[in-house]
Amino acid sequence: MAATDTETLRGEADQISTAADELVRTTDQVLAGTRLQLRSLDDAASSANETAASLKETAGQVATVAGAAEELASSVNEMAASVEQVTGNATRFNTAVAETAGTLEQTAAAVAAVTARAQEMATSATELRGAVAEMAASIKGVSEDTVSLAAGIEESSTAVEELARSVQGVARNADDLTAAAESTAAAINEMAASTEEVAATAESLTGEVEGVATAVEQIARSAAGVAQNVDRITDAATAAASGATQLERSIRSIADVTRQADETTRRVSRDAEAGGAAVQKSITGLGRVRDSLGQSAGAIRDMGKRAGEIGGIVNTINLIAERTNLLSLNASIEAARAGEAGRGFAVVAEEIR
Amino acid sequence: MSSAEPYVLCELAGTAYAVPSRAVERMEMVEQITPAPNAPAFVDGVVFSRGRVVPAVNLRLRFGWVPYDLRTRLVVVAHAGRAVGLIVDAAREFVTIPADAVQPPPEGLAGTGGSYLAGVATLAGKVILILDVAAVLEHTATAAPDA
Repeated sequence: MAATDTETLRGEADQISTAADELVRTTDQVLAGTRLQLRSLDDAASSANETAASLKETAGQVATVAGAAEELASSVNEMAASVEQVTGNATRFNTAVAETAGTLEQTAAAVAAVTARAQEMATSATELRGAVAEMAASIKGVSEDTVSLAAGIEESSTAVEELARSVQGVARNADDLTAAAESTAAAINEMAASTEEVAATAESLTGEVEGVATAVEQIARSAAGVAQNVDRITDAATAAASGATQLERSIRSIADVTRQADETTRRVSRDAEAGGAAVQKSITGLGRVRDSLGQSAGAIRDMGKRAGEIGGIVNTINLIAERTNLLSLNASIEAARAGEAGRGFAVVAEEIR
Repeated sequence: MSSAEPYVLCELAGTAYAVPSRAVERMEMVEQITPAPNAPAFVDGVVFSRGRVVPAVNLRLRFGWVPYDLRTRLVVVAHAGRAVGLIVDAAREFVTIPADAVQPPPEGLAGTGGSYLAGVATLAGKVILILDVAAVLEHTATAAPDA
């Protein structure tokens, strides 16, 4: 979703960039036209300077012939007034041009229409230049006339009159120039209006750019969120990595334990084999013990038999003892019956008992 | 000699009895007693002693019958031409008891039918009952027809 928005945004930004490039190109053109105009104006100024020089020269010549004719003086005064007018017009023109320059400085961009109007202005300036050139030519003619006037003072009255007329023509031309300059100012005002439009367009463009900026901020926030998520993922991955490390350690310890268990099992197996051998030996020994027990049983049987025999012998001895006792008693009884004669016999019987 | 009399000491149920030696014909071991029909309960049977048939009287009858063993003796006594074998647990001694050591039997016992005692003697701290052989023989002679 954000990627699509970003794509659209990038397209719009590219369009804006293209429009800005066009704007720059147009502005360059306007600048070029303005430079051309400036050059034309410079030319016009130099022509005016030339005119002024010529007029000074004329004034000098007129001064040399001042005393010749008041008519000429008045004509010259008229001419001076006209020249002042021209100068004022030129000043106003300069002001207008300064205004134009200010407006041009204010606006970094210009539109194609402005270019056309600037071209028109350039054309007008060119025309102005042509007029000024004509005026210069006329003034030159005036100068020549004035030279010829200096050569022939008497005949110069009419020539001065012509000169005056010529100067008046110059004045008219200057008026025309003024008008042209005014029209130029109007054109420049229109250009300013166009520039305002451009500014409005630029404002709306700014709004769009702000929108784009907002979108970009959202993208930035999303990216920050993505970065946070990436951080969390990184933490989780780190935790998982540590867990995996612990797991690996545990597995290694388990492997150790298993190895120990294997060794123990092997040892137990050896012990069991030894135990088996021992058990085998034990079985053999037990067999021998059984044989011995069998022999012992035989011996005990024999012993029992002997014991029985001994018992029989003891019984016999007891019987003999009882019978001996009985015999001695009977002997005692018989001895008592025998009285004195049996006394010795009684003693023997007592001894037997 | 009148001051002392020889006796054969017998043992019966743990008590010492003395039988006057002059009344004793002989001593025998109990080997074979032949049960006699119609004999009284105290007569175990008859034995042959020196060619005569003698009844064997079991003086232990009142204490319960005890099997004969090696020590069992048959004391053959005779009085007035009659002989009787008395079965006793043991008889191993021949003693001479002075007359002054013999006392008459207690009054409570004298004159009763069951008393066969001639007296009671004390010898070396031991009490010995002296058997009246004549009384025993009379009793067996009179009791025999009853049984």
